[in-house]
Amino acid sequence: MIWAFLQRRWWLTENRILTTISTALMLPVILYISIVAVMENIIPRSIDGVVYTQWVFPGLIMIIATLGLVPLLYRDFFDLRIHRHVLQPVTLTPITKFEIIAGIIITAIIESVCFVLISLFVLLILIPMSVPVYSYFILIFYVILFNGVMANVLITISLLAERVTTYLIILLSFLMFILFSSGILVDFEFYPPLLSQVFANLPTSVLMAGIRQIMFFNRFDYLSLIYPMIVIVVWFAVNGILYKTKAHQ
Amino acid sequence: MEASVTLKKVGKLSGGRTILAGMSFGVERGSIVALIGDNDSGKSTLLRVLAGYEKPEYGNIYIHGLDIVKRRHETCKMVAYVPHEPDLDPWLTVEQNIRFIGMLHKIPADKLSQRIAGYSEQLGIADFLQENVSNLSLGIQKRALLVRALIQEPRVLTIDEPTAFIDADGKRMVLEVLLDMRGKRTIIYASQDLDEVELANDRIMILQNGHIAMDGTLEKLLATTNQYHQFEIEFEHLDEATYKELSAVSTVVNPSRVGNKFRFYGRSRRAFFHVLKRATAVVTNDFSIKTIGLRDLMDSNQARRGLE
Repeated sequence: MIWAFLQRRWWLTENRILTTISTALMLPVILYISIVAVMENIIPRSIDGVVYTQWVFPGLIMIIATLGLVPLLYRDFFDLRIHRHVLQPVTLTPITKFEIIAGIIITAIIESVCFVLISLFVLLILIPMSVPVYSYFILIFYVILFNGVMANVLITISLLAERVTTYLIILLSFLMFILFSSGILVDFEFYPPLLSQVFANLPTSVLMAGIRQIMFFNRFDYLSLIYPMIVIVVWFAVNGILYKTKAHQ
Repeated sequence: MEASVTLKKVGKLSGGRTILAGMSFGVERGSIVALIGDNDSGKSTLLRVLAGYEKPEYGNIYIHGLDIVKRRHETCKMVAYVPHEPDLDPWLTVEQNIRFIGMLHKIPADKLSQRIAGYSEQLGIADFLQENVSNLSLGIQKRALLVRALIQEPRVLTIDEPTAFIDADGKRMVLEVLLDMRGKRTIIYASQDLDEVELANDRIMILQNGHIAMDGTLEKLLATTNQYHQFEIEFEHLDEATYKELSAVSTVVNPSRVGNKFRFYGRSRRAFFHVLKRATAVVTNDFSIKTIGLRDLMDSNQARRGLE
Protein backbone atom coordinates (compact mmCIF):
# COMPACT_ATOMS: atom_id res chain seq x y z
CA MET A 1 0.00 0.00 0.00
CA ILE A 2 2.72 2.45 0.98
CA TRP A 3 4.46 1.89 -2.37
CA ALA A 4 1.43 3.18 -4.20
CA PHE A 5 1.44 6.36 -2.11
CA LEU A 6 5.22 6.74 -2.49
CA GLN A 7 4.94 6.31 -6.23
CA ARG A 8 2.15 8.89 -6.38
CA ARG A 9 4.18 11.32 -4.26
CA TRP A 10 7.14 10.90 -6.59
CA TRP A 11 4.97 11.54 -9.67
CA LEU A 12 3.57 14.69 -8.06
CA THR A 13 7.04 15.91 -7.04
CA GLU A 14 8.51 15.03 -10.43
CA ASN A 15 5.92 17.21 -12.15
CA ARG A 16 7.00 20.30 -10.16
CA ILE A 17 10.58 19.47 -9.22
CA LEU A 18 12.10 22.81 -10.27
CA THR A 19 9.58 24.84 -8.26
CA THR A 20 10.17 22.63 -5.23
CA ILE A 21 13.97 22.91 -5.39
CA SER A 22 13.93 26.67 -5.97
CA THR A 23 11.57 27.16 -3.03
CA ALA A 24 13.77 24.97 -0.82
CA LEU A 25 16.78 27.07 -1.82
CA MET A 26 15.07 30.43 -1.36
CA LEU A 27 13.17 29.79 1.83
CA PRO A 28 16.21 29.70 4.19
CA VAL A 29 17.49 32.94 2.68
CA ILE A 30 14.12 34.63 3.18
CA LEU A 31 13.86 33.35 6.76
CA TYR A 32 17.44 34.43 7.50
CA ILE A 33 16.86 37.96 6.23
CA SER A 34 13.43 38.42 7.79
CA ILE A 35 13.99 36.70 11.13
CA VAL A 36 17.60 35.97 12.07
CA ALA A 37 19.17 39.20 10.82
CA VAL A 38 16.68 41.21 12.89
CA MET A 39 16.30 39.07 15.98
CA GLU A 40 20.03 38.57 16.60
CA ASN A 41 20.27 42.31 17.30
CA ILE A 42 17.42 42.13 19.82
CA ILE A 43 18.37 38.82 21.49
CA PRO A 44 22.12 38.21 21.04
CA ARG A 45 22.09 35.08 23.21
CA SER A 46 19.49 32.67 24.59
CA ILE A 47 18.88 32.38 28.35
CA ASP A 48 21.16 29.33 28.31
CA GLY A 49 23.93 31.40 26.75
CA VAL A 50 23.78 29.98 23.22
CA VAL A 51 24.38 32.49 20.40
CA TYR A 52 20.91 33.39 19.01
CA THR A 53 21.71 32.57 15.39
CA GLN A 54 22.69 29.04 16.43
CA TRP A 55 19.90 28.72 18.99
CA VAL A 56 17.24 29.59 16.39
CA PHE A 57 18.72 27.18 13.78
CA PRO A 58 16.56 24.13 14.72
CA GLY A 59 13.54 26.46 14.93
CA LEU A 60 14.14 27.65 11.37
CA ILE A 61 14.44 24.05 10.21
CA MET A 62 11.08 23.25 11.82
CA ILE A 63 9.49 26.29 10.11
CA ILE A 64 10.86 25.10 6.76
CA ALA A 65 9.63 21.56 7.45
CA THR A 66 6.15 22.86 8.28
CA LEU A 67 6.05 25.11 5.22
CA GLY A 68 7.05 22.13 3.11
CA LEU A 69 4.25 20.07 4.61
CA VAL A 70 1.33 22.54 4.51
CA PRO A 71 0.76 22.63 0.72
CA LEU A 72 0.98 18.85 0.43
CA LEU A 73 -1.66 18.18 3.06
CA TYR A 74 -3.81 21.16 2.07
CA ARG A 75 -3.91 19.76 -1.44
CA ASP A 76 -4.68 16.16 -0.53
CA PHE A 77 -7.05 16.61 2.38
CA PHE A 78 -8.74 19.90 1.59
CA ASP A 79 -8.52 21.17 -1.98
CA LEU A 80 -8.79 17.86 -3.80
CA ARG A 81 -11.21 16.41 -1.25
CA ILE A 82 -13.62 19.35 -1.33
CA HIS A 83 -13.29 20.60 -4.88
CA ARG A 84 -12.51 17.54 -6.98
CA HIS A 85 -13.38 14.60 -4.74
CA VAL A 86 -10.05 13.03 -5.71
CA LEU A 87 -9.83 11.10 -2.45
CA GLN A 88 -13.15 9.34 -3.05
CA PRO A 89 -11.87 6.72 -5.52
CA VAL A 90 -9.08 5.98 -3.04
CA THR A 91 -11.68 5.25 -0.37
CA LEU A 92 -13.29 2.69 -2.70
CA THR A 93 -10.12 0.59 -2.85
CA PRO A 94 -9.56 -2.27 -0.38
CA ILE A 95 -7.59 -0.16 2.13
CA THR A 96 -8.81 1.41 5.35
CA LYS A 97 -9.21 5.11 6.09
CA PHE A 98 -6.32 4.77 8.56
CA GLU A 99 -4.12 3.40 5.80
CA ILE A 100 -5.08 6.29 3.52
CA ILE A 101 -4.16 8.84 6.19
CA ALA A 102 -0.96 6.98 7.04
CA GLY A 103 -0.02 6.73 3.36
CA ILE A 104 -0.50 10.43 2.77
CA ILE A 105 1.18 11.51 6.05
CA ILE A 106 4.23 9.28 5.61
CA THR A 107 4.84 10.29 2.01
CA ALA A 108 4.23 13.98 2.76
CA ILE A 109 6.75 13.80 5.62
CA ILE A 110 9.30 12.11 3.37
CA GLU A 111 8.91 14.87 0.78
CA SER A 112 9.08 17.52 3.49
CA VAL A 113 12.30 15.97 4.88
CA CYS A 114 13.88 16.06 1.40
CA PHE A 115 12.81 19.70 1.18
CA VAL A 116 14.42 20.33 4.60
CA LEU A 117 17.69 18.64 3.56
CA ILE A 118 18.12 21.06 0.65
CA SER A 119 17.32 24.05 2.87
CA LEU A 120 19.60 22.73 5.61
CA PHE A 121 22.68 23.09 3.41
CA VAL A 122 21.76 26.65 2.45
CA LEU A 123 21.11 27.54 6.07
CA LEU A 124 24.47 26.08 7.11
CA ILE A 125 26.16 28.46 4.69
CA LEU A 126 24.29 31.41 6.20
CA ILE A 127 24.65 30.32 9.83
CA PRO A 128 27.99 28.71 10.73
CA MET A 129 27.21 26.11 13.40
CA SER A 130 29.53 24.66 16.02
CA VAL A 131 27.67 21.45 16.86
CA PRO A 132 28.64 17.79 16.37
CA VAL A 133 27.79 16.34 12.95
CA TYR A 134 25.65 13.53 14.41
CA SER A 135 23.29 16.13 15.88
CA TYR A 136 22.11 16.96 12.34
CA PHE A 137 20.93 13.36 11.94
CA ILE A 138 19.12 13.61 15.26
CA LEU A 139 17.70 16.95 14.09
CA ILE A 140 16.20 15.20 11.05
CA PHE A 141 14.64 12.60 13.34
CA TYR A 142 13.09 15.41 15.38
CA VAL A 143 11.90 17.07 12.18
CA ILE A 144 10.03 13.84 11.37
CA LEU A 145 8.36 13.88 14.79
CA PHE A 146 7.59 17.60 14.58
CA ASN A 147 6.04 17.02 11.16
CA GLY A 148 4.14 14.06 12.57
CA VAL A 149 2.43 16.36 15.05
CA MET A 150 1.91 19.14 12.50
CA ALA A 151 0.58 16.74 9.85
CA ASN A 152 -2.10 15.49 12.22
CA VAL A 153 -3.14 19.02 13.15
CA LEU A 154 -3.27 20.03 9.48
CA ILE A 155 -5.36 16.97 8.61
CA THR A 156 -7.81 17.74 11.41
CA ILE A 157 -8.20 21.32 10.17
CA SER A 158 -8.56 20.12 6.56
CA LEU A 159 -11.22 17.58 7.48
CA LEU A 160 -13.20 19.96 9.67
CA ALA A 161 -13.18 23.00 7.37
CA GLU A 162 -15.58 22.97 4.43
CA ARG A 163 -14.75 26.39 2.99
CA VAL A 164 -11.44 27.71 1.86
CA THR A 165 -11.82 30.99 3.81
CA THR A 166 -12.49 29.09 7.05
CA TYR A 167 -9.57 26.81 6.31
CA LEU A 168 -7.14 29.67 5.69
CA ILE A 169 -8.18 31.63 8.80
CA ILE A 170 -7.81 28.57 11.03
CA LEU A 171 -4.56 27.54 9.36
CA LEU A 172 -2.90 30.96 9.62
CA SER A 173 -4.01 31.41 13.24
CA PHE A 174 -2.70 27.97 14.08
CA LEU A 175 0.67 28.53 12.38
CA MET A 176 1.09 31.83 14.22
CA PHE A 177 0.24 30.08 17.47
CA ILE A 178 2.78 27.29 16.88
CA LEU A 179 5.42 29.80 15.83
CA PHE A 180 5.19 31.72 19.10
CA SER A 181 4.09 29.02 21.51
CA SER A 182 6.68 26.33 20.74
CA GLY A 183 9.88 28.19 21.48
CA ILE A 184 10.74 28.25 17.81
CA LEU A 185 11.86 31.87 17.64
CA VAL A 186 11.90 33.13 21.23
CA ASP A 187 12.88 31.44 24.51
CA PHE A 188 9.99 30.75 26.92
CA GLU A 189 11.77 32.79 29.61
CA PHE A 190 10.59 35.93 27.83
CA TYR A 191 6.93 34.96 28.33
CA PRO A 192 4.80 35.51 31.46
CA PRO A 193 5.36 32.54 33.88
CA LEU A 194 1.89 31.01 33.46
CA LEU A 195 1.97 31.15 29.65
CA SER A 196 5.51 29.88 29.58
CA GLN A 197 4.51 26.86 31.73
CA VAL A 198 1.55 26.02 29.49
CA PHE A 199 3.43 26.51 26.24
CA ALA A 200 6.45 24.53 27.40
CA ASN A 201 4.28 21.42 27.66
CA LEU A 202 2.98 21.47 24.11
CA PRO A 203 4.33 18.49 22.10
CA THR A 204 5.96 20.85 19.58
CA SER A 205 7.68 22.77 22.43
CA VAL A 206 8.91 19.54 24.00
CA LEU A 207 10.44 18.54 20.67
CA MET A 208 12.11 21.95 20.26
CA ALA A 209 13.53 21.83 23.78
CA GLY A 210 14.66 18.23 23.26
CA ILE A 211 16.62 18.88 20.07
CA ARG A 212 18.27 22.00 21.54
CA GLN A 213 19.37 20.00 24.57
CA ILE A 214 21.00 17.44 22.26
CA MET A 215 22.55 19.96 19.85
CA PHE A 216 23.91 22.48 22.31
CA PHE A 217 24.34 20.61 25.63
CA ASN A 218 24.70 17.01 24.50
CA ARG A 219 21.86 16.00 26.86
CA PHE A 220 19.14 13.56 25.82
CA ASP A 221 15.69 13.53 27.36
CA TYR A 222 13.55 10.46 26.60
CA LEU A 223 10.38 12.35 27.46
CA SER A 224 11.01 14.71 24.54
CA LEU A 225 10.56 11.70 22.25
CA ILE A 226 7.95 9.56 23.98
CA TYR A 227 5.41 12.28 24.76
CA PRO A 228 5.17 13.62 21.15
CA MET A 229 5.08 10.04 19.84
CA ILE A 230 2.05 9.27 22.01
CA VAL A 231 0.38 12.48 20.83
CA ILE A 232 1.04 11.52 17.20
CA VAL A 233 -0.45 8.03 17.61
CA VAL A 234 -3.55 9.23 19.48
CA TRP A 235 -4.14 12.12 17.08
CA PHE A 236 -3.69 9.81 14.12
CA ALA A 237 -6.41 7.53 15.51
CA VAL A 238 -8.70 10.52 16.02
CA ASN A 239 -8.09 11.65 12.43
CA GLY A 240 -8.89 8.17 11.16
CA ILE A 241 -12.24 8.23 12.96
CA LEU A 242 -12.90 11.80 11.81
CA TYR A 243 -12.16 10.90 8.20
CA LYS A 244 -14.39 7.85 8.41
CA THR A 245 -17.21 10.01 9.77
CA LYS A 246 -16.69 12.69 7.14
CA ALA A 247 -16.62 10.18 4.29
CA HIS A 248 -20.08 8.82 5.31
CA GLN A 249 -18.99 5.34 4.27
CA MET B 1 -30.12 -16.69 -12.67
CA GLU B 2 -28.27 -15.77 -9.49
CA ALA B 3 -28.51 -12.30 -8.01
CA SER B 4 -25.46 -10.12 -8.35
CA VAL B 5 -26.79 -7.18 -6.38
CA THR B 6 -29.57 -7.36 -3.80
CA LEU B 7 -31.10 -4.40 -2.00
CA LYS B 8 -33.33 -4.89 1.04
CA LYS B 9 -35.32 -1.85 2.14
CA VAL B 10 -32.45 0.53 1.46
CA GLY B 11 -33.09 4.10 2.54
CA LYS B 12 -31.04 7.24 2.33
CA LEU B 13 -31.86 10.59 3.89
CA SER B 14 -30.21 13.93 3.43
CA GLY B 15 -31.02 16.89 5.64
CA GLY B 16 -34.33 15.34 6.67
CA ARG B 17 -35.29 14.70 3.02
CA THR B 18 -35.79 11.17 1.72
CA ILE B 19 -33.49 10.46 -1.21
CA LEU B 20 -34.04 6.70 -1.36
CA ALA B 21 -37.21 5.39 0.20
CA GLY B 22 -36.79 1.78 1.32
CA MET B 23 -35.79 0.30 -2.03
CA SER B 24 -35.79 -3.46 -2.51
CA PHE B 25 -34.76 -5.21 -5.70
CA GLY B 26 -32.29 -7.69 -7.09
CA VAL B 27 -30.14 -7.57 -10.20
CA GLU B 28 -29.20 -10.69 -12.13
CA ARG B 29 -25.55 -11.48 -12.74
CA GLY B 30 -24.25 -10.21 -16.04
CA SER B 31 -27.23 -8.02 -16.84
CA ILE B 32 -27.31 -4.38 -17.86
CA VAL B 33 -29.67 -2.26 -15.79
CA ALA B 34 -30.42 1.31 -16.77
CA LEU B 35 -31.69 3.77 -14.17
CA ILE B 36 -33.66 6.66 -15.56
CA GLY B 37 -35.77 9.35 -14.01
CA ASP B 38 -36.14 13.07 -13.48
CA ASN B 39 -33.41 15.15 -11.89
CA ASP B 40 -33.18 14.53 -8.16
CA SER B 41 -35.10 11.27 -8.41
CA GLY B 42 -32.34 9.38 -6.57
CA LYS B 43 -30.46 7.71 -9.46
CA SER B 44 -26.98 8.99 -8.59
CA THR B 45 -27.49 8.42 -4.87
CA LEU B 46 -28.58 4.85 -5.57
CA LEU B 47 -25.40 4.25 -7.58
CA ARG B 48 -23.22 5.81 -4.87
CA VAL B 49 -24.85 3.67 -2.22
CA LEU B 50 -24.45 0.53 -4.35
CA ALA B 51 -20.76 1.26 -4.86
CA GLY B 52 -20.15 1.81 -1.14
CA TYR B 53 -19.37 5.45 -1.83
CA GLU B 54 -22.08 6.43 0.66
CA LYS B 55 -23.62 4.48 3.49
CA PRO B 56 -27.40 3.99 3.50
CA GLU B 57 -29.24 5.16 6.62
CA TYR B 58 -31.09 1.85 6.78
CA GLY B 59 -31.46 -1.41 4.92
CA ASN B 60 -28.90 -3.84 3.50
CA ILE B 61 -27.07 -4.18 0.23
CA TYR B 62 -25.50 -7.47 -0.82
CA ILE B 63 -22.96 -7.85 -3.59
CA HIS B 64 -22.72 -11.49 -4.63
CA GLY B 65 -24.15 -12.39 -1.21
CA LEU B 66 -21.81 -10.20 0.86
CA ASP B 67 -23.09 -7.30 2.93
CA ILE B 68 -21.55 -4.12 1.54
CA VAL B 69 -21.11 -2.50 4.98
CA LYS B 70 -20.03 -5.50 7.06
CA ARG B 71 -17.80 -7.03 4.34
CA ARG B 72 -16.59 -3.79 2.81
CA HIS B 73 -13.04 -5.02 2.27
CA GLU B 74 -14.24 -7.88 0.03
CA THR B 75 -17.07 -6.06 -1.72
CA CYS B 76 -14.98 -3.06 -2.76
CA LYS B 77 -12.82 -5.43 -4.78
CA MET B 78 -15.95 -6.54 -6.65
CA VAL B 79 -17.58 -3.19 -7.35
CA ALA B 80 -16.27 -0.30 -9.40
CA TYR B 81 -17.86 3.11 -9.62
CA VAL B 82 -17.65 5.75 -12.30
CA PRO B 83 -18.91 9.11 -11.02
CA HIS B 84 -20.70 11.67 -13.16
CA GLU B 85 -18.05 14.37 -12.73
CA PRO B 86 -14.42 13.42 -13.32
CA ASP B 87 -12.48 13.05 -10.07
CA LEU B 88 -8.98 12.55 -11.44
CA ASP B 89 -5.98 14.27 -9.88
CA PRO B 90 -5.33 17.25 -12.16
CA TRP B 91 -1.58 17.27 -11.44
CA LEU B 92 -1.00 13.71 -12.57
CA THR B 93 -1.17 12.20 -16.02
CA VAL B 94 -4.09 9.98 -17.04
CA GLU B 95 -1.93 6.87 -16.74
CA GLN B 96 -0.55 7.89 -13.32
CA ASN B 97 -4.10 8.40 -12.05
CA ILE B 98 -5.19 4.98 -13.26
CA ARG B 99 -2.01 3.22 -12.16
CA PHE B 100 -2.26 4.63 -8.61
CA ILE B 101 -5.74 3.15 -8.11
CA GLY B 102 -4.60 -0.09 -9.73
CA MET B 103 -1.68 -0.31 -7.30
CA LEU B 104 -4.04 0.18 -4.35
CA HIS B 105 -6.08 -2.71 -5.73
CA LYS B 106 -2.82 -4.70 -5.68
CA ILE B 107 -2.97 -5.52 -9.39
CA PRO B 108 0.44 -6.86 -10.51
CA ALA B 109 2.39 -4.28 -12.54
CA ASP B 110 2.49 -6.30 -15.79
CA LYS B 111 -1.24 -7.05 -15.70
CA LEU B 112 -1.95 -3.43 -14.85
CA SER B 113 0.04 -2.16 -17.86
CA GLN B 114 -1.69 -4.68 -20.09
CA ARG B 115 -5.16 -3.69 -18.89
CA ILE B 116 -4.46 0.04 -19.11
CA ALA B 117 -3.20 -0.37 -22.68
CA GLY B 118 -6.13 -2.62 -23.67
CA TYR B 119 -8.99 -0.61 -22.23
CA SER B 120 -7.58 2.77 -23.22
CA GLU B 121 -7.26 1.48 -26.78
CA GLN B 122 -10.88 0.27 -26.74
CA LEU B 123 -12.09 3.59 -25.39
CA GLY B 124 -9.91 5.68 -27.69
CA ILE B 125 -7.75 7.42 -25.11
CA ALA B 126 -4.44 5.62 -25.71
CA ASP B 127 -2.93 8.84 -27.13
CA PHE B 128 -3.85 10.80 -24.01
CA LEU B 129 -2.37 8.48 -21.35
CA GLN B 130 0.75 10.61 -20.85
CA GLU B 131 -1.14 13.92 -20.81
CA ASN B 132 -1.67 15.83 -17.60
CA VAL B 133 -5.34 15.61 -16.63
CA SER B 134 -5.61 19.39 -16.26
CA ASN B 135 -4.94 19.73 -20.02
CA LEU B 136 -7.70 17.35 -21.09
CA SER B 137 -11.36 17.79 -21.97
CA LEU B 138 -14.06 16.38 -19.70
CA GLY B 139 -14.95 13.79 -22.35
CA ILE B 140 -11.47 12.29 -22.31
CA GLN B 141 -11.42 12.41 -18.51
CA LYS B 142 -14.75 10.60 -18.40
CA ARG B 143 -13.38 7.83 -20.60
CA ALA B 144 -10.29 7.66 -18.37
CA LEU B 145 -12.64 7.10 -15.40
CA LEU B 146 -14.09 4.12 -17.24
CA VAL B 147 -10.61 2.70 -17.85
CA ARG B 148 -9.79 3.25 -14.17
CA ALA B 149 -12.92 1.31 -13.18
CA LEU B 150 -12.34 -1.48 -15.70
CA ILE B 151 -8.71 -2.23 -14.76
CA GLN B 152 -9.89 -3.82 -11.51
CA GLU B 153 -12.10 -6.16 -13.60
CA PRO B 154 -15.10 -5.63 -11.33
CA ARG B 155 -17.96 -8.05 -11.13
CA VAL B 156 -20.34 -5.13 -10.70
CA LEU B 157 -19.82 -1.87 -12.55
CA THR B 158 -21.85 1.17 -11.54
CA ILE B 159 -21.71 4.19 -13.84
CA ASP B 160 -23.28 7.59 -13.44
CA GLU B 161 -23.99 8.91 -16.94
CA PRO B 162 -21.57 6.72 -18.96
CA THR B 163 -21.44 9.02 -21.96
CA ALA B 164 -21.69 12.43 -20.27
CA PHE B 165 -19.35 15.03 -21.88
CA ILE B 166 -18.33 12.46 -24.54
CA ASP B 167 -18.49 13.13 -28.33
CA ALA B 168 -20.42 10.95 -30.79
CA ASP B 169 -17.46 8.68 -31.64
CA GLY B 170 -16.60 8.26 -27.99
CA LYS B 171 -20.21 7.43 -27.13
CA ARG B 172 -20.17 4.63 -29.66
CA MET B 173 -16.95 3.24 -28.15
CA VAL B 174 -18.33 3.40 -24.61
CA LEU B 175 -21.56 1.65 -25.62
CA GLU B 176 -19.60 -1.04 -27.47
CA VAL B 177 -17.48 -1.69 -24.38
CA LEU B 178 -20.58 -1.89 -22.18
CA LEU B 179 -22.38 -4.22 -24.56
CA ASP B 180 -19.25 -6.39 -24.83
CA MET B 181 -19.40 -6.94 -21.09
CA ARG B 182 -23.01 -8.12 -21.17
CA GLY B 183 -23.19 -11.54 -19.54
CA LYS B 184 -19.74 -11.18 -17.95
CA ARG B 185 -20.23 -8.27 -15.58
CA THR B 186 -23.28 -6.74 -13.99
CA ILE B 187 -23.64 -3.16 -15.15
CA ILE B 188 -25.90 -0.67 -13.43
CA TYR B 189 -25.90 2.81 -14.88
CA ALA B 190 -27.88 5.99 -14.65
CA SER B 191 -28.54 8.08 -17.72
CA GLN B 192 -30.55 10.97 -19.07
CA ASP B 193 -29.75 9.93 -22.62
CA LEU B 194 -32.76 7.80 -23.51
CA ASP B 195 -31.41 6.82 -26.93
CA GLU B 196 -28.42 5.31 -25.17
CA VAL B 197 -30.71 3.54 -22.70
CA GLU B 198 -32.80 2.08 -25.54
CA LEU B 199 -29.59 0.67 -27.04
CA ALA B 200 -27.99 -0.78 -23.90
CA ASN B 201 -30.35 -2.42 -21.43
CA ASP B 202 -31.65 -5.72 -20.20
CA ARG B 203 -33.85 -3.97 -17.74
CA ILE B 204 -34.90 -0.38 -17.13
CA MET B 205 -35.84 1.10 -13.78
CA ILE B 206 -37.63 4.43 -13.67
CA LEU B 207 -37.02 6.26 -10.42
CA GLN B 208 -39.32 8.90 -9.01
CA ASN B 209 -38.73 10.67 -5.68
CA GLY B 210 -36.57 7.87 -4.34
CA HIS B 211 -39.03 5.13 -5.35
CA ILE B 212 -39.01 2.72 -8.25
CA ALA B 213 -41.94 3.96 -10.33
CA MET B 214 -41.56 1.39 -13.11
CA ASP B 215 -39.28 -1.59 -13.55
CA GLY B 216 -38.93 -4.06 -16.42
CA THR B 217 -37.66 -4.64 -19.93
CA LEU B 218 -38.07 -1.92 -22.52
CA GLU B 219 -40.87 -3.90 -24.19
CA LYS B 220 -42.69 -4.34 -20.90
CA LEU B 221 -42.45 -0.65 -20.09
CA LEU B 222 -43.67 0.40 -23.52
CA ALA B 223 -46.54 -2.08 -23.26
CA THR B 224 -47.85 -0.02 -20.36
CA THR B 225 -48.57 2.77 -22.83
CA ASN B 226 -51.56 0.75 -24.13
CA GLN B 227 -50.69 1.18 -27.81
CA TYR B 228 -50.79 4.93 -27.60
CA HIS B 229 -49.40 6.96 -30.49
CA GLN B 230 -47.95 10.39 -30.50
CA PHE B 231 -49.40 12.77 -33.10
CA GLU B 232 -48.09 16.12 -34.20
CA ILE B 233 -49.92 18.44 -36.59
CA GLU B 234 -48.36 21.67 -37.81
CA PHE B 235 -50.87 24.35 -38.72
CA GLU B 236 -50.21 27.52 -40.63
CA HIS B 237 -51.59 29.45 -37.70
CA LEU B 238 -52.81 27.93 -34.46
CA ASP B 239 -54.70 30.45 -32.32
CA GLU B 240 -55.65 29.96 -28.68
CA ALA B 241 -59.34 29.30 -29.41
CA THR B 242 -58.56 26.57 -31.97
CA TYR B 243 -56.00 25.04 -29.60
CA LYS B 244 -58.63 24.87 -26.84
CA GLU B 245 -61.20 23.42 -29.21
CA LEU B 246 -58.81 20.73 -30.45
CA SER B 247 -57.71 19.92 -26.91
CA ALA B 248 -61.31 19.29 -25.99
CA VAL B 249 -61.69 16.43 -28.49
CA SER B 250 -62.58 13.39 -26.40
CA THR B 251 -59.98 11.05 -27.96
CA VAL B 252 -57.11 13.53 -27.45
CA VAL B 253 -54.82 12.78 -24.51
CA ASN B 254 -52.30 15.20 -22.96
CA PRO B 255 -52.39 17.90 -25.63
CA SER B 256 -49.65 20.51 -25.83
CA ARG B 257 -48.45 23.11 -28.29
CA VAL B 258 -45.12 24.43 -29.47
CA GLY B 259 -45.71 27.47 -31.69
CA ASN B 260 -48.10 26.33 -34.42
CA LYS B 261 -47.51 22.67 -33.73
CA PHE B 262 -50.26 20.79 -31.92
CA ARG B 263 -49.00 17.65 -30.19
CA PHE B 264 -51.14 15.03 -28.51
CA TYR B 265 -51.41 11.34 -27.70
CA GLY B 266 -54.18 9.01 -28.75
CA ARG B 267 -54.98 5.35 -28.39
CA SER B 268 -55.79 4.88 -32.08
CA ARG B 269 -55.25 6.73 -35.34
CA ARG B 270 -58.87 7.80 -35.22
CA ALA B 271 -57.90 10.50 -32.77
CA PHE B 272 -55.86 12.10 -35.54
CA PHE B 273 -58.85 12.29 -37.89
CA HIS B 274 -61.10 13.59 -35.10
CA VAL B 275 -58.69 16.49 -34.67
CA LEU B 276 -58.41 17.13 -38.41
CA LYS B 277 -62.24 17.18 -38.73
CA ARG B 278 -62.44 19.87 -36.05
CA ALA B 279 -59.65 21.88 -37.63
CA THR B 280 -61.18 22.35 -41.07
CA ALA B 281 -60.97 26.13 -40.82
CA VAL B 282 -57.19 26.07 -40.30
CA VAL B 283 -54.60 25.31 -42.98
CA THR B 284 -52.54 22.22 -42.17
CA ASN B 285 -48.83 22.31 -43.18
CA ASP B 286 -47.48 19.01 -41.95
CA PHE B 287 -48.17 16.10 -39.65
CA SER B 288 -46.46 13.08 -38.08
CA ILE B 289 -47.55 9.93 -36.26
CA LYS B 290 -45.22 7.73 -34.25
CA THR B 291 -45.49 4.93 -31.76
CA ILE B 292 -44.48 5.81 -28.25
CA GLY B 293 -40.85 5.36 -27.17
CA LEU B 294 -39.00 5.62 -23.92
CA ARG B 295 -38.68 9.37 -24.35
CA ASP B 296 -42.47 9.79 -24.41
CA LEU B 297 -42.82 7.52 -21.43
CA MET B 298 -40.45 9.78 -19.53
CA ASP B 299 -41.99 12.99 -20.79
CA SER B 300 -43.78 13.75 -17.57
CA ASN B 301 -45.47 16.92 -18.72
CA GLN B 302 -47.06 15.49 -21.80
CA ALA B 303 -47.43 11.78 -21.48
CA ARG B 304 -46.74 10.22 -18.15
CA ARG B 305 -49.81 11.37 -16.27
CA GLY B 306 -52.17 10.09 -18.91
CA LEU B 307 -50.32 6.99 -19.93
CA GLU B 308 -49.31 5.43 -16.64
